[in-house]
Amino acid sequence: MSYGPVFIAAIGYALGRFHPIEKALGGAVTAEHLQQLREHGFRNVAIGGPDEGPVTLARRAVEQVLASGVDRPSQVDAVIYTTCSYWSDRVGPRQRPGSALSDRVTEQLLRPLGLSTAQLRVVYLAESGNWVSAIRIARNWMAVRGLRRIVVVTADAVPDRPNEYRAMPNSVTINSDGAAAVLLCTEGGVFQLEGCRQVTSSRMLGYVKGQGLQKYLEIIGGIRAATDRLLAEAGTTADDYERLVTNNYSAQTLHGFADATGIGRQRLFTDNVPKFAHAFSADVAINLADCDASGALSPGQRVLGLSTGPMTWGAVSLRRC
Amino acid sequence: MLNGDPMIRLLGLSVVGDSAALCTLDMAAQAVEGTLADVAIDAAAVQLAVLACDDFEGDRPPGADPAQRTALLDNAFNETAVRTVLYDRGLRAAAPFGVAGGGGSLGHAAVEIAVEFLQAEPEVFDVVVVVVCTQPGQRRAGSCVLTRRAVEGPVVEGLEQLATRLCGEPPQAESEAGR
Repeated sequence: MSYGPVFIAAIGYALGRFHPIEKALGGAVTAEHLQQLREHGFRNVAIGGPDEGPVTLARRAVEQVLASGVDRPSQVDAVIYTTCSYWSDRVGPRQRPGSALSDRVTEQLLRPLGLSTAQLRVVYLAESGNWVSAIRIARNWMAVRGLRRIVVVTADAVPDRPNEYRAMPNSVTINSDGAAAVLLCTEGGVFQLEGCRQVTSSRMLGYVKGQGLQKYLEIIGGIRAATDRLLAEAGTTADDYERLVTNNYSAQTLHGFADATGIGRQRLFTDNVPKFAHAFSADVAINLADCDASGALSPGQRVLGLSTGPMTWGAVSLRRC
Repeated sequence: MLNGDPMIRLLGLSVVGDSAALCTLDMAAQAVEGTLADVAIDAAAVQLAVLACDDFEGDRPPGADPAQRTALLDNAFNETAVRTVLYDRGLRAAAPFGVAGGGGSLGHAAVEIAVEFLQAEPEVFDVVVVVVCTQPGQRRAGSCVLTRRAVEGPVVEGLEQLATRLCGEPPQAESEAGR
């Protein structure tokens, strides 16, 4: 099946409150760990307030895209909500046994925003790669069932529970609380979606402690494969991309990603690494919005969006309209 | 016809009923095992797994104390789900998509998304396993294979009927004790 035109018509995002990492992590990490995080480029972390869980952050992000992308909420055919934070909602019926995630999203996001007529799908399992999973499902939904406007929102927050942490033990990133929403539509927008590809490797489940190099090579191989498939679909080469936006990880990690895509380190957007570190799957859309707002993109130029999870790597090709 | 597509066939539908001894993901794993045992397609050939779950608190056995019910960390749920339900059942080439919602039943969402993958991306996917677990208020899991391959198997009349077979009727009408 060939896809009709799909555009990103609006982007919105919401983050927790910014805190310097020294204050936010001070008691939870060693001085050596903190120093390593600073050397990797991290300065601040975004932490949601006591009543600010993923769905609340998502609502703020979706409000923005509704304000700029549609005349009224009823024009939205569907919402895709994606997360890997099943336990982080600090308000509402979270504590009620048996409360379904989709019920929380309906009660706390769709209804308050006048989106009660929109169909809802919840998507998960790719973790920080969830954004491309949701874009892919949205594009298929539009192609097969003729939907015209879908809001894709990704929202996560670190739960306030024992053994959950913000700073990754290997210093590769620090987890922030945040959400990003995009309005996909078939009738024009800011970016045209030219392709969307993902690669999964279950071999990642088989690696054990001490096999870090093999895991890293598997990740790089996955990113390379996803990019190659994307370029084939979009009919482009790596040279055709003005910028690369991806998740916010350590400089060393991001350089490896940029090399794997072939786009190169100099075209990597890293402005947000010191600002809020890693807002899970929301990073890519937030970086896309901020890269565009910085004036770095002209009409006709392309951005490659790379969304990376533990075993699933996805990429989208976007052309500025 | 499944969503108007006579090319998509249903294979190996398997349901595991309420079991006090099993957590949700273990029931889902058993359903997948039952499905794979009934189909003439190698598990390693399955390219996509659509796993539907909407009640992550139901992941622990019933009766477990609340502390135990919340034992899985967020990331641990993902890995446990993929490992228990897919990887350890031989579905090692299947791209995992977790789904919920859909406006109808959980099974409806899973089947609808699986069909869309088969229809929109036929060059990528021709064999999909669908797994549905923990319809809120119920404790059961259902699984089946949907394929575009030219194999022996029924063409399903509609999404809702298949979803109902995977999930069962709402709890008050439930009569099937399980497999």
